[in-house]
Formats: sequence, C-alpha cells, structure tokens
Amino acid sequence: MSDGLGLFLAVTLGDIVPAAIGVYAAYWAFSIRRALSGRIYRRHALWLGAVCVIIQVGLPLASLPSSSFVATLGINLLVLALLVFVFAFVDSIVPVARRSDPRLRGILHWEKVRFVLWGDLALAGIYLVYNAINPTFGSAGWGAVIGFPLFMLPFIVGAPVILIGAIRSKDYVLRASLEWFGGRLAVLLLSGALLSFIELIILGISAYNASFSYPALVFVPGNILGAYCLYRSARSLAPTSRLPVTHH
Amino acid sequence: MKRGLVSSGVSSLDKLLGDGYPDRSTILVVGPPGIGKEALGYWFTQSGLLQGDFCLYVTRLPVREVLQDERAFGIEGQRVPFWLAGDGGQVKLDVGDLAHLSFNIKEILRQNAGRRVRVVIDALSSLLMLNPPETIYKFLAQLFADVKQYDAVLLATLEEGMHKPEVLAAMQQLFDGSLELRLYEEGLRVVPLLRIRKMRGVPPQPGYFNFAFSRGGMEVSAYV
Repeated sequence: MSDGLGLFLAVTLGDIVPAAIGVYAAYWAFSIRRALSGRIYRRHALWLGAVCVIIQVGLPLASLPSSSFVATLGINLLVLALLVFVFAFVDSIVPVARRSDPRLRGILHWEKVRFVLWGDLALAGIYLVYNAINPTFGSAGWGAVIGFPLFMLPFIVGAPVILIGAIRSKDYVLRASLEWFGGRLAVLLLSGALLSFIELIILGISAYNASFSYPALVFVPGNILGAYCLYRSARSLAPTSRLPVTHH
Repeated sequence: MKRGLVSSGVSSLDKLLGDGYPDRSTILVVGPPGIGKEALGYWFTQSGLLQGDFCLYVTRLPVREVLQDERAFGIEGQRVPFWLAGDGGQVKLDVGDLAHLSFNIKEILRQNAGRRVRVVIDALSSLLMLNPPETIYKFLAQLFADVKQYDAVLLATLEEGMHKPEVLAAMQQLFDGSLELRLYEEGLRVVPLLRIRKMRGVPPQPGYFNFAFSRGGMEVSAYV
C-alpha cells in the first residue's frame, strides 16, 4: 500500500466517517429540540447539537497546518467557536441538572460564576485573534504563559460543576446523556495521549510531523467510537418511543 | 361550559374531554422533562383566575422561575395564583416536610371553602424521590379526599425518566384522569404526542393527538 493511499484511508476513516456520524447526532439533537417546549431543555439540546458538529467537523479542520494569515485566523476562530460551543453546552446543562435534583440545589454558585467564565472566554477570543495577527505572541513571553489557563479555566471550573449536577440529578435520561458525552471526552483524551506516546516515545517524532502519517491511524477507532458516543448522547436527550402500529 | 366540568384552559383539549376536566377530580400529567407538562398547569391556572376561581400553585421552584417559564409560553397574566413555593410565595414549600405540606394545602382549601378551587402541583416527582412511594400514596389519598370535599380540581405533573415504571403505573391508577405527553419517533422525525390514558366520565380514547405550543396557547389535534 502506498503512503498516499494509506493517508487517504486515514483521513477518510479518521475524519470523514466520524464527521458524518457527528452531523447525524446533531440532526437528532435538533429534532428533539424542536419537539421540546421547555426553554432550558431546548437550549440544552441546541448546544449539544452544535457541539456534535464542532467536535466532529470543526476539530479536524482546526488541526490542519496553516501558513497564511487568513488560514491561521480561520483556524483560530474555529478554535474559539469550539471553546464557546462547548462552554455554552456546559452552561446549558447546569439549570437542567438543577431542576432534576429533588432538592433543587444550586451548584457552586454557577449563576454568578458563569459570568466570570464567559468573560474569560471573551478574553480568549481576543487572544486568538491577536495570535493570528502576531503568531509569535502565543509561543513566547507572557502570551505563552496565559494562553493555556485562559482557554482551560471555564472547563476546569465547569467539569466539577457538571459532575456534581450529574450526581445530584435523579433524571436517569439526563445522566445517560452526560455519561455518553463523558465517554466522548475520555476517548478524545485517551487517543490524544496514545498518539503522543507513539510519536514521542516510540517513533521519536513531533506531533506536527506525524499528524498526517501512519501514527495518526491510532485516532481512527477512537474518533469513530467518540462520534458514536456523541450520537448516543444526542439520542439520550429525551426518552423517545416508537408508535405502536395499531395506534389509530 | 357544561355543569360539572372545569375548563383546562386549552379550548382544543376541552373539546376532546367533552368540555373540560371533571369537577372534583384529580388529573395527572406524565411526560419527560421539557415536553410542556407545566404549560397545561399554567393554562389551567390562568383559565381559573379569569373565571374568578381560587387557584393554588404548589411548586418547589422559586416563583420568579415559574413566571419566567410562563412568559416563555406567552402567559403574561395580571392575576396571580396563591403560591406555595420553594421561594417567593405566600407560603414556603419544603419538599422534605410532607406533613407540613399536607396541613398547608388543607388549611388553604378550608379557608376558601365555598369557592371553586383549582390546585396545580409540580412537586410530585421531588416528593416521590424524597419519600417512600407508600408514604406518597397515603399523602395523595388524604389530598384527594380534601379536593373532593372542598369542590376543587387538582392537576399534578410527574416527570418520566425519574421513577420506576411500577411507580408511574401506580400513580396513574390513583388519579381520576391521566394525560401522557411523550416523544415518538416517526422515521427520522421526533413528534410530541398527547394521549388521554383515562378520564373520569369520558369514554376511553385510544388515539394519539398532536400538540403544539404557540404564544397564544396550546393546540391539540388528531394525529393522522
């Protein structure tokens, strides 16, 4: 098998198939959203659908190498969209989880903390745009120091909030949806760690050079499994039944 | 409106029920979170307030959250019910104190004896999760006796997906009427449908009904 064919298979299986599953998952999330009428539940379904698309379609695009200003800006905006969509999804889970807690407890003062975290994401947006204009900004000096905490703070705070919400929730439908979503995140982290291990420890090459070669195949099963997790998460948004054939 | 029937606040649902819910009855609305069960309670309350009935709304939510949800359904009523709520109501609701809740509802009904009373409860799922089902069955038996004694109609909502199927079935048995709001898959579509599982004085209706909410209210039509 030639290198060209191998890469084609890697890209097709590793990105296009999961992207299609992600779009299908989003379709179900939006369909359930249309059928619901409670505002907080509709918002939850909307952002889960958006997250399915941005993770399965946007994330592979954001991993592409870029050399021009326009391409870098586009990729940075895509990264910003990813951060905003995922955080909006986290933000939408909290009121749903709170309502399914029989004691209706607030979670870590989220109603106030969320504004600080949205502010943090606004700063992350400014950082990404500036980094496209001045590419050295993010790789040296204080620009390199603040980048990671700026991007990760909403998720470092959001993760325990979701966990507490899921534990307190007595809605097993919501819990199932969150468990599948957690499965997607676990697959993403594990396959990323595995790829880094193969590249850096076994092959001794950098992640940049390996992103379009055979080590990237390690992502294929993980990416498909991850997309399936998102699909199950979307289908678990609300219990659905099939109509009995004799319903008339 | 026929004598002995109380409008649900949704004219198309009234038509299906033969002009409304039966007087001195207890109605259960079952469905997954977010499908719109509470809206039936909002329309029921609004209809009662417009007709001069005394309306009691029992909720574990703060009043401001219920009002926000009502506004999302296009309800901007000038008249408000008597609130027995988690926060912001005339009487505070503690879902962990069933005896106090039972006493409060009975007292409020007694104080309004002689008037038509409508009671909406959206805290039933929480009560079921915090107490053994047998305790809730006893609580409901007492509440239903009070409802019938004081010329009231009670509408309660129950979350699907939070209770065991046998508990849901037992609850549906206890009430005089039971409406189900569910999501059904029809090919690649998800459609919300309503089903009248039972209603005192109304012949069994095996069919399903489409329902949709708009700013003006709720529309129920036969599902074909």
